[in-house]
Amino acid sequence: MTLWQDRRSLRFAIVAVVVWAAFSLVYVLGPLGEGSHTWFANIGTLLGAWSVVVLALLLWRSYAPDETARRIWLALFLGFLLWAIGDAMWAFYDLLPGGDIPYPSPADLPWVAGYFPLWVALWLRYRSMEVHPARGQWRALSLIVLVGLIVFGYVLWPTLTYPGYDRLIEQALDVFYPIGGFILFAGAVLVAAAVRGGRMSFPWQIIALGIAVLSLADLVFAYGTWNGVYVIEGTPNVITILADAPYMGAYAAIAVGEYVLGRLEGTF
Amino acid sequence: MGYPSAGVRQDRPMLVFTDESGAVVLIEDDLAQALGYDNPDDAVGDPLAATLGLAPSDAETLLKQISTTGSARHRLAQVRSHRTGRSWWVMLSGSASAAAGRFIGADITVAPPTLPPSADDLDHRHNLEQMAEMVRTRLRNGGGPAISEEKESELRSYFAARMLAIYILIVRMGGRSLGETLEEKVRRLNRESGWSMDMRRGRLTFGEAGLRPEACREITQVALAYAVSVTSKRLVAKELAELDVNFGRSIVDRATQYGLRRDL
Repeated sequence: MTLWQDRRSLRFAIVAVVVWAAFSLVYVLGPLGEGSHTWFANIGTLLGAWSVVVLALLLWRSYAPDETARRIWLALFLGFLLWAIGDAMWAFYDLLPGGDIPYPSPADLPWVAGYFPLWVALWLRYRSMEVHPARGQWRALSLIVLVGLIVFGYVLWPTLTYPGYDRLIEQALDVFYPIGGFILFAGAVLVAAAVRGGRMSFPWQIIALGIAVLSLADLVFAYGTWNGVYVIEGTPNVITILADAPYMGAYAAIAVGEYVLGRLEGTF
Repeated sequence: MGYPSAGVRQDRPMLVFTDESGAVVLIEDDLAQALGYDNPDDAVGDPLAATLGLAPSDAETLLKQISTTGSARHRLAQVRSHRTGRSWWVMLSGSASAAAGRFIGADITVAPPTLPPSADDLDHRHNLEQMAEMVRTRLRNGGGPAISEEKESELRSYFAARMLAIYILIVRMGGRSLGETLEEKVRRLNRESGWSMDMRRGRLTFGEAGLRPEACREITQVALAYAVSVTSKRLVAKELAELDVNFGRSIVDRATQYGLRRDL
């Protein structure tokens, strides 16, 4: 209902979906040859990531210094900025002809750092509403526990018990990413369950959904790389598509949520 | 057909406020009674169609017109008491309540068809004034006059109208659970401070012991802080500024003097 009431929001959402669908399609099909899959994936991701950063910056600056929303949007801006920098670094290595992507790479530094402000932002948003656990909250908690069990069983446990790591940093990162993604997912689901029924629920639920999908795409990426089925170069397989296409889509969803919220608050 | 029941006033326009989805967030006491509700708060959260006894498609059309065009003018409709089943004709008008230009709910006026149409029915400020008057009436009718002076009573009305406006804004923006959280915060503060006041569905009731201006100030600050933390200063300030227009200069000055109008 929200999008239909504001034509500019509706237009923005349509453009975001069309751009995401177009990039996903050309990424899967690779119409310009073998190497074009990677190009489309990286360009689509960077477009989404930096759009989210710019919108977060505008939202942050639109609030007064002592407002909770300003702190929330500062944290979101920093988190998304760090991730966008990480995505840009990854794209640089990924698109470098013939070069292998090191692990850890410099991209891992901003990616890891980006989790912390994003956790803080979701925590601030959830805490500021001070809602008591109701039926929706318990359902959200059940979903979180379910995803937590899957993450632990399929991603964390094999990583923790694998004896063949040469370097501790690799194992630490392989453990951190699923945990970081899971905490983000949990925070996003809790926020989405807390804002229900009001005018702000749509933008915040879309933002939370985007963050949840980002974290799930990260988990699929972690699962795929751990099992050696994630394709870095060449035609993507199902696991690779399930990690990359939702990753781009999640940024598009977050951008839509930011724009709708900005329209509601009078920022845009 | 005809008038809904004896003793219920149907000689003036009455208000129903909804959120963006069409769920009732506030209904005037007399109208709720006419529609078969013992307690007006029982209607809160119900869809507009169920509350007024309208056909769902009629209610949906009305809300859609208000949300897309900003208003709906003088539509003849039949409303029905869900208790007695009796129906009567009314004229429905509505205007969009907006935050920063975005639709957040509808202010719907239910008027007898015999009344001449008024442009005020489509004015959110006028609706807030009517809401403020409803609060004054409630306070005049309910409980003992804890603050005997007329001026102090007016101050209390101002306080109650402001709290109701904050509550409605929060429910419209953040949903009913956030409205309940606001009420819980206010009740907790009252309990801890030993004040004689309650808040349900945004409406304040005062006990025999009355309420001092300092208490009003503290409760207002808690409510404002919560409203700002879940929405924004801009939205809260706009809503309260529109409410203030409906009070006289003297009461607004007095409210400022007692700290009820803290700058956001």
